[in-house]
Amino acid sequence: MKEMIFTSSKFYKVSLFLVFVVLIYSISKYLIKPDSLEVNVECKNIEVSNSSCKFTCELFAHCDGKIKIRYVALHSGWAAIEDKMIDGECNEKNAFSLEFPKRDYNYMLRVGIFNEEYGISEKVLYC
Amino acid sequence: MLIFLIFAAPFFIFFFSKPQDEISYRILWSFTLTMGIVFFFTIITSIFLESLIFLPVVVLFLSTITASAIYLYYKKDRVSNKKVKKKISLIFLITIVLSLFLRLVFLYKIDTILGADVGRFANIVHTWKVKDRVTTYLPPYDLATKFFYFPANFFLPLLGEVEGINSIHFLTYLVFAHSFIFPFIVYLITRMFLKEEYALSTYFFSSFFLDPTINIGVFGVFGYSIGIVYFLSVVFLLLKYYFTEKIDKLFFIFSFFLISGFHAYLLVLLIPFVFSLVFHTLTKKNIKKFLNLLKLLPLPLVSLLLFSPLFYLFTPDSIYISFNKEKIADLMMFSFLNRKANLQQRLSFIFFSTPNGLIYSPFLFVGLLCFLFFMYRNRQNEKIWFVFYSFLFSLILLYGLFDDLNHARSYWLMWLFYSMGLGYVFSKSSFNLIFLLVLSVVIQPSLIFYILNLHPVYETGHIPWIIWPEFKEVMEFIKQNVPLDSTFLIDGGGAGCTGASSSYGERIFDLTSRKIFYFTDYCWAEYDENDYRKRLEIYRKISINPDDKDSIISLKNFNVTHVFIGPISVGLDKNLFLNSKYYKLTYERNDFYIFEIL
Repeated sequence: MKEMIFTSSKFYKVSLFLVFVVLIYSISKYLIKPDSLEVNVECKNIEVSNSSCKFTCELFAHCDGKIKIRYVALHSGWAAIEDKMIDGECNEKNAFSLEFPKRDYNYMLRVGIFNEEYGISEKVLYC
Repeated sequence: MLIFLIFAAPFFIFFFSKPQDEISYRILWSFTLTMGIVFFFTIITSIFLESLIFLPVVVLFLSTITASAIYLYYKKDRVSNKKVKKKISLIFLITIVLSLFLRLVFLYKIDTILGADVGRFANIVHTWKVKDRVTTYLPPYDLATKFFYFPANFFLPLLGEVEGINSIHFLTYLVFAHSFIFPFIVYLITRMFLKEEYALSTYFFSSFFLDPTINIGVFGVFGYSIGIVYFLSVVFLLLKYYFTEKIDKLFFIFSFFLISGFHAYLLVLLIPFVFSLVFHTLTKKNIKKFLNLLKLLPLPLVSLLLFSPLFYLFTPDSIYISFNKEKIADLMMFSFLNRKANLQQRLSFIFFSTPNGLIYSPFLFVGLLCFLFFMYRNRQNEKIWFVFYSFLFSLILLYGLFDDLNHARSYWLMWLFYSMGLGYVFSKSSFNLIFLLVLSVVIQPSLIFYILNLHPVYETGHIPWIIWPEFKEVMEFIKQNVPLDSTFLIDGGGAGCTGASSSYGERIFDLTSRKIFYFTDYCWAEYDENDYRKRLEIYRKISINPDDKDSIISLKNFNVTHVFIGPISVGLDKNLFLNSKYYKLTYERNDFYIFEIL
């Protein structure tokens, strides 16, 4: 009998603990918006001069309908040198071009897309 | 003055109440109260003298004298017959004095924190000063036409601005004052579960090794850093209420307000502790305790009701800003590395990195091991299981919040548990003071390690992001030689919600009142996005070719008169400007350059 009470009490504790774990995890997930859209970005360095590098990029998003595309190029930490918004199509190649000053560091291209859902991607551009 | 009193209220309410009889508690209590009083009067004096330069020396001097007096008093009247207590109190006193002393050395070396939120909010508050009113419409000094941030972040720098004190320096001082308080509250929490000597050694580790207030504060995120102290105060009050059924209601209400006021994200971190308390009552099937906990619910509501007018006063129309999809996408990009991290990276971050995620430390691994050992050794102690539940719930929460960079800095929560574990394993305070403090010279993230390895940002590119004398010289030059109605094009820019440029050019505004040609986007603000992109485009073109005539004309149309380039030049290349006929060099020293547009 004593053993049964112990077992039942242990079962109660473990079950309760799991309920709390699920609850906390659910709250944390509720606070974070997911980036559920898959995005691929490919860029090519098409021209390098003494003063600048030019790139063309193609973005492909796995989704349906139209999307908004925001692309931001960072040149140090969080500082941007390029930040544009364009309209795009899902399941198609969406092209855009970039030109940066030629320096002794690389640029970080960050892309965010959205319709009803969101997607993000990142690419290092060597200049 | 009213603003200052609201901030000081929790401490005054708490410290003017009668302290417990325990000698270490009394020393800490007296010391912190002294700090509070000295701080209060020094601020008042500083307001009249318009300088904070002498502050650290005054605090050190008065606090040391007072604490020594208190110690001598207790030595004479209470402790003289108890050898062990006498030893504890002496070691504890030395620990506290060292804790304060090292913070003052750190503060003296740093002088002023420049990074992230410190500069950003100092800019906003300086705009208010220039406009002579509190407003969420910042042009022409900034692009934001409406913005929201937790309003307490503006109260104190505003106090500094109004009274003529440099608000950035003022905020730096506040971060350090709060960091001294932080380990004290850790001590109070630990004392609920462990004996005095363990709580003292926990204080040691929390003060010299695992202080998130300093770690996050020197990074520039001062609101969150200061908010941690009020968050911990609420945790302490909750625990005290749970175990003793007593609560300081006013202290709770003020502290809860200040968490929301400085950084409401910290409220989320109350979840593991509240849930642990509830879990504890339910496993004990103690309905009375559970109902007692429910009785606390009105307090946060009272806090919000009492102080909501203050929120409204400082940000009257900010609640109407729209978090549109573009801003949400921007926030997501800001958290890119977190979102794409795998399981191993996530756990490494949570367990073994500093709160900003920049430094991994083996010391944190030792901290985790010590905590697990501490739990194992005390597995029979029902009360201590509460700590373990809090640890596990915190872990789940931190893992769940990992995708958001703003939440991610909450890793520091682990440090509470590590401090406790380290304090339990290394409980010989004299050994700690003699050996571990010396050893901390090579241990990250110890206070001494940071003090010894401080470098200006341009040398390392990493934190602490601090001011340096050469930067001050440039600001002084601008004040003396550049007309007040000038506008500067600065190197760098901003994306991802911050606006941190590489050489802190944007600080020109709050330090010299000269305008900045801003091209920064904000997640928590509304602004003319076309205007922002137009400005960024001009910057990009000028970076490629400073002689581009269209861009120069555009700059002139925006009334830009000067160009500022610092030691970390990114977009703007000083050599291109030096060789151009469209710019005249007016300042060149220590790798800082100022050009006048001709």
